[in-house]
Amino acid sequence: MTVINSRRLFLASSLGAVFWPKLMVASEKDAATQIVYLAVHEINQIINSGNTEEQMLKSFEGVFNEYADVPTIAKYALGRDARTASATQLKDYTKAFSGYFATKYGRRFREFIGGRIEIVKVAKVKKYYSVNTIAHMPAYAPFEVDFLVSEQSGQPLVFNLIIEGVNMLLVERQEIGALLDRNSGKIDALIRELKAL
Amino acid sequence: MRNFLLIVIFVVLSACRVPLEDGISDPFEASNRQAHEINKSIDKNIIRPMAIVYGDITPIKLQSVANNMSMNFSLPRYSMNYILQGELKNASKSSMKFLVNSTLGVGGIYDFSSQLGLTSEKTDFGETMAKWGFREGPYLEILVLGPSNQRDGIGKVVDLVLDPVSLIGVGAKSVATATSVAFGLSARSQFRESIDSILYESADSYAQSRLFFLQNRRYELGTNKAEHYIDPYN
Repeated sequence: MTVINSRRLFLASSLGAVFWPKLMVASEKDAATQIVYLAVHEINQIINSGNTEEQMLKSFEGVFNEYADVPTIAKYALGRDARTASATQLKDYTKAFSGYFATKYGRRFREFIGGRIEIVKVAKVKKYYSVNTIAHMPAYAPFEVDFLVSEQSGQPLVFNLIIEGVNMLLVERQEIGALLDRNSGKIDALIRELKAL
Repeated sequence: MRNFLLIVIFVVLSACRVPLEDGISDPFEASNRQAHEINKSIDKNIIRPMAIVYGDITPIKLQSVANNMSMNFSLPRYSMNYILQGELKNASKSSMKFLVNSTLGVGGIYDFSSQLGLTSEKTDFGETMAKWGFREGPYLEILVLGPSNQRDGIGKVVDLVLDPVSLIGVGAKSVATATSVAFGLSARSQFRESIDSILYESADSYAQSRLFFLQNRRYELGTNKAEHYIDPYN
């Protein structure tokens, strides 16, 4: 699917929302495509806005909170320790993780300045949709970024990114696990460290 | 003798399929970690500062020219490896691309062939060995070269020693080397924050580099076992 096609699809589904509200939920695939389309559209605007780093990071945080399932990503990254943590700890941890996540991945997307992300195709894989995109960068070979979208939280949200084969959930579980080890397995210490990062 | 070699290659090719890989095998972790620390200090004290200066003073158009030339000089190596893999169509594509870019693209300054829709996927001797059925072997962090594994480490050495560009002449080989250094610096500078984040901001930079390398390499070669579906909702 080209950008033009996905734009058309987006327009069509927006029109659908106005005239035939029920058609909107008819296709999970369209919903998955649309969520990534909107996220990518906003990311493209941010990286070409010429704003300062601080402004961009703030904008990215908004995009992540709207289109990504950050609490689910946070819980997966914590792994087994999520089960033994108290409800308060889990809540504090999720909040600290969200801040860490927004800054880290905001910085990653900021490196696409001058480039653009294009939606190529959408495929259903087991319980989720994989929205395959290509990041075009000035002076470099383009590379693939897959946005994995699931409706298991109740609404379509991005729950994982695969950048040239590198799985974000695995990377974050490794990283949070190492941070936890560094803090002798104490979740409260991990939360403090995440807030300080 | 030559016929015998060809027969061996094709027998090996037909007998083997690309082996699939899973998990992390790192029996040399202690020495790998030492190499990682040395590599980090090489990056911190030499490569990173050079890359920042290069990236800041060189206009992106000029970096692009150097990167195009470096890519062009890799094409004969791709052709050689595609031939060894029995992928003759890809071999002719990369050879054709080299011819077009070297002539119409003025020595590879312009990636003229891409405008004609002629593209070539990169390949290397590590991939050739994978296609011959060699497993990746234990993870290795190699001094200066960075994250690798047994098979791809050998591949890197073979690609360095048997580069067809050397046949064109010492001059061509030196330009190829210079532009590939320029490409490395350009990439280190462009992806500065991503690389810094792995090397200097992560809790365990060795484990992060290993994870990034293994996943990315298996993805490039198509050797990752049908990916475990990570369902964070269960």
